Amino acid sequence: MNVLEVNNISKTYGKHKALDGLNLTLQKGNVYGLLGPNGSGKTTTLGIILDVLKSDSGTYTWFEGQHDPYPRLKIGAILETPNFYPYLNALDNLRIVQHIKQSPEDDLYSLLKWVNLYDRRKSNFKSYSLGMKQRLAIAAALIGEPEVLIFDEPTNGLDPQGIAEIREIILKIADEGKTIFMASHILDEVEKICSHVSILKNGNLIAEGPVGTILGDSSILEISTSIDKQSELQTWIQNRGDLELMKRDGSIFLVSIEPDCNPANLNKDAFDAGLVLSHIKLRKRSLEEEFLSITK
Amino acid sequence: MSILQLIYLEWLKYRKNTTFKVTVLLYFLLLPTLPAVLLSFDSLPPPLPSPASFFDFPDIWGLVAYTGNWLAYFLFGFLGVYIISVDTTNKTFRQSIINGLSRKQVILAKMFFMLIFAIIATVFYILTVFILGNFGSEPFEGRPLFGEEFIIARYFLMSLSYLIFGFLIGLLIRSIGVATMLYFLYIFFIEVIIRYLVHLNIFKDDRSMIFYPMNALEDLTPFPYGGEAANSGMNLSFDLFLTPTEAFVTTSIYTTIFIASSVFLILKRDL
Repeated sequence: MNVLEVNNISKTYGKHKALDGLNLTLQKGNVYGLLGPNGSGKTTTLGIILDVLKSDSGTYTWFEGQHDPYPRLKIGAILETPNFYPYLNALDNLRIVQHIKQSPEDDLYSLLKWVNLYDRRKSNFKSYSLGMKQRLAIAAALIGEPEVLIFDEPTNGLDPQGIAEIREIILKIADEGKTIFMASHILDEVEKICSHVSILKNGNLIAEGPVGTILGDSSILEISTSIDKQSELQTWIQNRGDLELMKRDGSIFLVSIEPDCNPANLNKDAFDAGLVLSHIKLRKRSLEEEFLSITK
Repeated sequence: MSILQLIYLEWLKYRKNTTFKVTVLLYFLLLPTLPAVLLSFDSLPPPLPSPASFFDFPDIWGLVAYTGNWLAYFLFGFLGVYIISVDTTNKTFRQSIINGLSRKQVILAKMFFMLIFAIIATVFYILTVFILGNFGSEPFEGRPLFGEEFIIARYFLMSLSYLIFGFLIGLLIRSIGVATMLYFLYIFFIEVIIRYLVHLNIFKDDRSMIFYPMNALEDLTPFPYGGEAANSGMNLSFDLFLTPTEAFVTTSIYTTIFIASSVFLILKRDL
């Protein structure tokens, strides 16, 4: 079942085209990561499908129309920041969400325990740390047995402990088989959590599919040589048609190679060119490297 | 979600809000007590009657309504700004949409909440009039109970209109401080300046100058005998105050425009 179908959506802010005919489909039970550089259209995409932003053209359909006209009652979402009434405590804020979701059977106390906020349930929202606010937002998103959860940069601004807590909660939700659609900058996080990724650039979808497919068979070669030969090594890499210099990490050059490229032959070629490689290592690409390569 | 559920949703938001509670409390405290200020005067300049006689039926309706107009200007207008600004500044407006409300439901919730508030304010006005009219002055035997033309309906419209006007300003200006300031500035200065600039050369001959939105709103429940006093002092070729019917129709039209503008903004704007 298609949980979401986005057809040809465009959105312009003044002269800036935030989305340019975006098409996207989410299927039930998968965990999707929405990736893209700043300004690529991630939050705009989420804003439009949640009806807080109006698209200039195009359409979207939730749950193949099954829950129309109120599909968002079956969606739990956090867009950008956790938004609650600062003068109300956690319980009162959740009661408002519960009333909107028309879901009186939800056990708010259990939810608060689940996100580890039960002891602070009577504290006003404004007294919470960012991590606590984010956890409360996740609790709110879970009210009403949502079929889909949408998170926009869920770990933004959190300290390492907060990041770990949120990641653990999202993994628990994913384990329950819910569909998750998550925009994130933290590619390592997406790689660990998501089964599928969609990559946006300048308002266009430039790649999508299961994480394994996106990573493909392409590999990364790490090579290095002595300090005095590094500029020569860089020129040698750039002059070869079968190598692509992705980035330089200190004295290590990260090079994209063809799947059939043999590192041993490369080592020999380098030696013949007067370059003695002090480090050579072949490894699979990470999602971050693939992302940087695609969005370059 | 039914209308009652939408109103209850708004109640859940504001029932523990100190600003909301203080503002409402001020109205309930000041409406019955402020008219007593008039009793501190021994006499009033002609053609106004004695201060005590304002507390007789039917003039008490006008006196309390006039007091209510000032209170509504300060308190209800601010409340109108506040109940939308709280939602926009905390981004709970957009979160309500994200959580599942339609934009239409958000509008209905706010509008019906203000409607209920205006009804409660009007009921309290009626109670205040009866309490002050019975215990605060001469018995009303031999005098008509009601004298002012549909004063209760005018009071209700006045209460609602200040709320709606404040709401529209709060919707246009997302900062609560700036919106509140603009609201007060508009009534006190901006509309007055616009009237002055537009009618500079035709002031004495053109009655259209009194049909401006906030002027009409003030004229809905003016000070009793205030129109006669103003006209006798200014020697104009037309009445400076709108008649009750004129004020009612004019305010109704403006309020409808304010509601339509609010609906348009909520339905069409990015949140």
